Amino acid sequence: MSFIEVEHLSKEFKITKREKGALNAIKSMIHREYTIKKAVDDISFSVEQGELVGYVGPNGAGKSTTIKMLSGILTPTSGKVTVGGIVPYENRKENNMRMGVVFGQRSQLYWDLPMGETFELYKRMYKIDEEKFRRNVEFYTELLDMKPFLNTPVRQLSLGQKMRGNIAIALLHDPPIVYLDEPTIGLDVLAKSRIRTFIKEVNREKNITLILTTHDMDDIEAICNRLILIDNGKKLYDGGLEEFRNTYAGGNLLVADFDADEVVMPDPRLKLIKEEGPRRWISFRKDEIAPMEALNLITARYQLSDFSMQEADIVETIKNIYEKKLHV
Amino acid sequence: MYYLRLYWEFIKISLKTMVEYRAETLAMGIAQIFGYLANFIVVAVMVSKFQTMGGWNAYEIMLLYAFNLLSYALSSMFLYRTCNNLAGQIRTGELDSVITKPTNPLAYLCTSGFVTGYWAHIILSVCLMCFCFIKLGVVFTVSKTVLLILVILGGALIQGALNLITTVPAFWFVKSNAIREIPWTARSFIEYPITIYHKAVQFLLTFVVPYAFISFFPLQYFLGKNDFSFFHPAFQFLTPAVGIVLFFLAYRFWLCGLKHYNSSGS
Repeated sequence: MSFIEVEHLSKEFKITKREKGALNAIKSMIHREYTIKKAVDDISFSVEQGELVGYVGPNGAGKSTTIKMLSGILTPTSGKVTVGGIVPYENRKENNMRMGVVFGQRSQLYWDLPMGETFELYKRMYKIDEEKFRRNVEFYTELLDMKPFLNTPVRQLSLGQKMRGNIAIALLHDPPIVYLDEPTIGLDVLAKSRIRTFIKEVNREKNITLILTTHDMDDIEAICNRLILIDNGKKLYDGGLEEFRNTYAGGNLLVADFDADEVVMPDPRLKLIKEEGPRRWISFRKDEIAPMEALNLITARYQLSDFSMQEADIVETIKNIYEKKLHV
Repeated sequence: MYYLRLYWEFIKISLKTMVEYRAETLAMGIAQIFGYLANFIVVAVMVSKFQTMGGWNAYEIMLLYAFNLLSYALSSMFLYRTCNNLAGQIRTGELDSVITKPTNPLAYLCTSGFVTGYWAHIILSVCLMCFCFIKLGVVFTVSKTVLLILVILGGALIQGALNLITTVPAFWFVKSNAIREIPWTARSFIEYPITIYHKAVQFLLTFVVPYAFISFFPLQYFLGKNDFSFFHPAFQFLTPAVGIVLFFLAYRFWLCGLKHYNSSGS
C-alpha cells in the first residue's frame, strides 16, 4: 500500500441559486433552490513516500478542495482517502500531529511573537523532543537564512521572511507529509528560489513527501518530480514531469507565420498544436528530428513570412491542455 | 495535563503582549473602570432615591451588578475574541489553520485568543463586591466563600455558554448578528431583581436564557433573602450545575457547527 491512497474521491458542494429582485429574495427565504457543484469528481491516485508531487490546475479546478480532504479539513462526499494508513478527517488529531501545512495566503505565525518564541510554542504543541527540536531549528535557520530576524516580532517581518517562517514551523516536527498551498505567492524572485532550494534540500535530507499546489510553473519545474494535472474536478494527467515535458511539451517548438490558409503537417514527427491567424505552433522532438530538417520539410511545401525556434514550454503546453487545444 | 500546560502557554503570550503594550493596557483599563463605575453610581443614586427596588436596597442591587460583571469578565477573557472573530474566520477560511493543529479547536481558539483587557472589570467588580458585603455586614465562612467562588464560575459558564450558542449559527449563516444580541439584552435585564418584571420575563430569564442564576438566585442565599417569586428555593444553589449543563450543551452545539464546516467548507 502506498503512503497516500486516494480512491474515487468526490466532493460536492451545495450552492444556493440566487436570483435578482426583491420578490425573489423573499421567495428564497422560504424556499431555496440548490445546484450541486462537483468540486472534485472521481479522482484516484497514490503517492509513495518521498515523492514531490505538483498538483496543478486553473482557479476553481478543485486543487484546494483535494488538499483540504487530504489534510482532514473537509469530509469527502464519496470515495476514500488514507494518509500513512489513517483516514485524515476521522482521526484529525493524530493526522495533524503527522503533517505540516502551509497556506500561502495566510500566515500561521503569532503577530506579536518573534520567530524564536514561535518555535518554542510549536515544540510544545507537537511534543517535539529537545534533541530533534535543537537540530531542526539550527538546520532550518541556517538553510532559510533566518538568523537576522529570529528575534524580531513577526508583525515587523517582510512577506518573504514570514513565508520562510511559516514553512519552517510546518516542518519543525519532522512530518512525513507536507502540503504546500501556493507557498511562493506574492514573493520576489530571490525569495522564491530560496524556498525552492530549501524544499529540495529538506526532501533529500528527511525524505518528506510533498504535495504542492501553485500557479507558478517554475515552482513545479524546480521542485517536483511528478505532476498531477486537474481541471473541472477531473484528473487530466498523472505522471513524471520529464515524461510530461517529452510527450506533451514535445521537446521543441517551431513558431511560424504561414502564408497558406490551410496547413497540413508533411511528416508525422511534426505536430501542429496551436493555430492563431497565420501563426502556427509546431512541436517536435529533437531526438526524432533535427530542428533544421524540420524547418526544411516545412519550407519545402509552404511559404513562411516569419519563424522562430523555441525550447519546450511547460506553461504553454498546460495552457493548451486547458483550452482544449491539446488533448492528453 | 499536557494540554493544560500547552493552553497556558498560549495565555502567557497574551500576557506578554499586554506587558509589551503597557501604555495602551493601562489607558484602556482606566477608561473601563470609569465607565463601569459611572454605571454603578447611577444605580446607587437611583436606588437610594427610591430606598428600595423590588425589596432590594442599593448595596444589594450593586451586588447584582458586581456578580453579573465579574462572571461576564471571566467568560469574556476566553470567549470574547473567539466568538467575535468566528464568522470572519469562517468566511476567510482562517479556521482551516485552527483545524489543522493537533489541539482541541475550541480550547485553542479560547486560549490563543485570550483577552487580558478584562483585568479592570475584575478588579472593579471584586472591590465593589467586598465593599457591598462589608456594608451589609455579611460574614463569610470558609464554606460560604467556596460556594461564592463556585457561583461566580457557574455564572461565567452560563454567560460563556450563551455567548457560544449565539455564535455557532455563523457556521450556517454568513451573518447572525441579530442572535448575538441576546446575551447582551439578558445581561441588562439582570441588573435589577427579576421580581420587578412580568412573570413571563422571569420565566424566560430562569428557564430559557437562565441569567437569573448568575446573580439573582445565588444572592438570595448570600443575603439571607427569601424572595423566590414562584420559583423553588433550591434554585439558590443551582448556579454551578446550571452552568456546567448549559456549557456542555453549548459545546455539543459547537461540535455540530464544526461538523457542518467539515462537510461544506466556507
